[in-house]
Amino acid sequence: MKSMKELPNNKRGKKRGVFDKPRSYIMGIPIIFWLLIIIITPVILMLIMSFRQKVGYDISNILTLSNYLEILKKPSYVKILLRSFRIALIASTLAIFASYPLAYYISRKIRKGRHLLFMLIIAPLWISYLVRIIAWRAILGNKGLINSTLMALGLIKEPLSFLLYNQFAVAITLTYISIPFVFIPLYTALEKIPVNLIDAARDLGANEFHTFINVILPLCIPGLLTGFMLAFIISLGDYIIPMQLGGTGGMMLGNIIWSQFGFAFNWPLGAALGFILFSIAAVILAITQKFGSREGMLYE
Amino acid sequence: MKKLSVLLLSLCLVVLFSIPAMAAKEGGTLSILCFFGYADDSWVKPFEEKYDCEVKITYAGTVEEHFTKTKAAPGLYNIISNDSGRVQMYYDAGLIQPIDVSRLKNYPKIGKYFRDHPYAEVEPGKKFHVPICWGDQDFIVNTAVVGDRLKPYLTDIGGGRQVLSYRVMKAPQFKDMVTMFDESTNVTSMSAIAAGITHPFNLSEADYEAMITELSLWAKNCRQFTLGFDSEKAILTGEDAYISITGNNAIEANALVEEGVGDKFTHYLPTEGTICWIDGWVITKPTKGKSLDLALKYIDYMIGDAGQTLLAEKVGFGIINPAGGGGYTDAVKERTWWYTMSIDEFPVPLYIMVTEEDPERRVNTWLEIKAKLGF
Repeated sequence: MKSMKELPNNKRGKKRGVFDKPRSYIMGIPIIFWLLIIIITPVILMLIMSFRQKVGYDISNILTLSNYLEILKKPSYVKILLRSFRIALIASTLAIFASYPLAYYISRKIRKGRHLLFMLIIAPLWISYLVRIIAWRAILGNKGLINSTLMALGLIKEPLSFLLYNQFAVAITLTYISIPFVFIPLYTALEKIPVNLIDAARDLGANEFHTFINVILPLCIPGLLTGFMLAFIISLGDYIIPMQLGGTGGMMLGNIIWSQFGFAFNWPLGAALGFILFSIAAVILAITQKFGSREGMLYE
Repeated sequence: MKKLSVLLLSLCLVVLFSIPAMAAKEGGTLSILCFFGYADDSWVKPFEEKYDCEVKITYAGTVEEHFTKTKAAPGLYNIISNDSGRVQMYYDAGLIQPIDVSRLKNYPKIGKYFRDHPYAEVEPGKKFHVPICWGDQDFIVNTAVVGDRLKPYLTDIGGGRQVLSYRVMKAPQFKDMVTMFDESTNVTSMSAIAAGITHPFNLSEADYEAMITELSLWAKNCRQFTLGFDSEKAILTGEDAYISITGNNAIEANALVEEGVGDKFTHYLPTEGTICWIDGWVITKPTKGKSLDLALKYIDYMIGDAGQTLLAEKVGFGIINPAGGGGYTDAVKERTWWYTMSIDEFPVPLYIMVTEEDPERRVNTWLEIKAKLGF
């Protein structure tokens, strides 16, 4: 096996740009058009809306920075943003810790029934989002599965009320929701690692732990970061879980945005908050791209 | 080739069978935006058959959601369920048209109190809102769990009835045992009443301060804010909270009895008084032609004897045509007994909802209070 740098130029192959050939250029047009319609245009419209202002029951066309200034003036909004950040960070970290062993064992240790296990882990995605959230209410509630079991076993006399309607419940449920999104890229990254690399590490005297630390973990970092990024973005913008399970102190930025659109009819302020959230997600995406990319090819 | 033929044939069959469903009904279309319960199949289906029309129903959970949806697309709906407190707002936003009540043959059957009350008088001599029922905000308590702890907050009002003070909402002994509906108008107005304000829909600066102080204490004591009937029922039956302020009282009474847990719960009116919404229909400005005719017929049906009887049975709130009183279930008669009485005889002070002095400020005030929690 040789690394890319060691290969002679004629084996590297000529690197071609996406638009080198007219045919590639033409084939890219529908994709660009599609991206423009479903992703870029809504973002631009949201950005424009964030600079407009609510006047009575109408929205003025005059562009202003007032919505952004209002957000900065309200310390509670900044605090909620930081709380959202913290909960999203906890949930995505927990999702990584929960998904990594699953992805590792299914992709590398299990031979038979691998696809069945893969499907079982992503099966929750086929169930309604709201149903999955309500299920957690049934698990964590005063008369829920955990409390009922502990009480039946005589371990507690009163239900543990800290399990539900607080930030803990939000973080746990967000973790659960994020697991399939973390698992898929991790599984893909782990599955792609050539067996010869691991064999080579073993031949050179590395034990299982050292092989994992020095070979497997570095090679699955792109999958790890992609999973983390997906979990973080999903968690950061969520408003249904905090609303359903967060209690009085579980409000996240998504809830404020929802309130501005759904209750206050202040779409410009809601759009400004939404754009802030979008910008944070975009920065995270850029950072992950920068640190998560691994260039090069492996030749056997 | 064979596959292509089968595909084309299937496509033709789908189109052929879809044509009758897509064809517009002779009688036209009526598009309704309403709270759950105001477009029940038991009267919508017969209505569609009688007038050979199609009724499209969109549900909304809160008054704010109704307004936002209507404002975003007023042409999409013909009639909207609307409470007394929002008529002015719809009028100011240019969303509704006057209703020609002379075309409603059942209109004279509406109780005098509702016909004459100035709650919806936004333009002299014109009606923009036709009431169908009314209701209040009050308490449901899991008395099986709370028991005697409630005693210091109860007052006898005769006839074996008791009312419950709002003080229970901020009592430290009930910390994390109370809930309330997550809607700014309701919570700000009720906490204003609790703070001793007698004009809860027209707050001065000083009133705002008193209301915020009171509501902040309530909010801190709450375990969760409810989002409507389902979440309220889940919290109560799951015993995640024991005391709830609710506007779904009659529906909850029926549901809890049906579930076999009714005896654990008791409904109480608030001692200090409460707010009263009068729900009814408004007609959107763009509605005309067949849709306008259907809108008037639908409204007329709902204020008639049969419509009001069904409404009393299915929803359970106070009706506006006494002829429908036979529809109330035993659960409503026993538990939310005040709905079977005339609204004039309501046992505690009742404040009919009108548009607040600044609805947006109320929304943001409530949002600010919530945003300060949990730190």
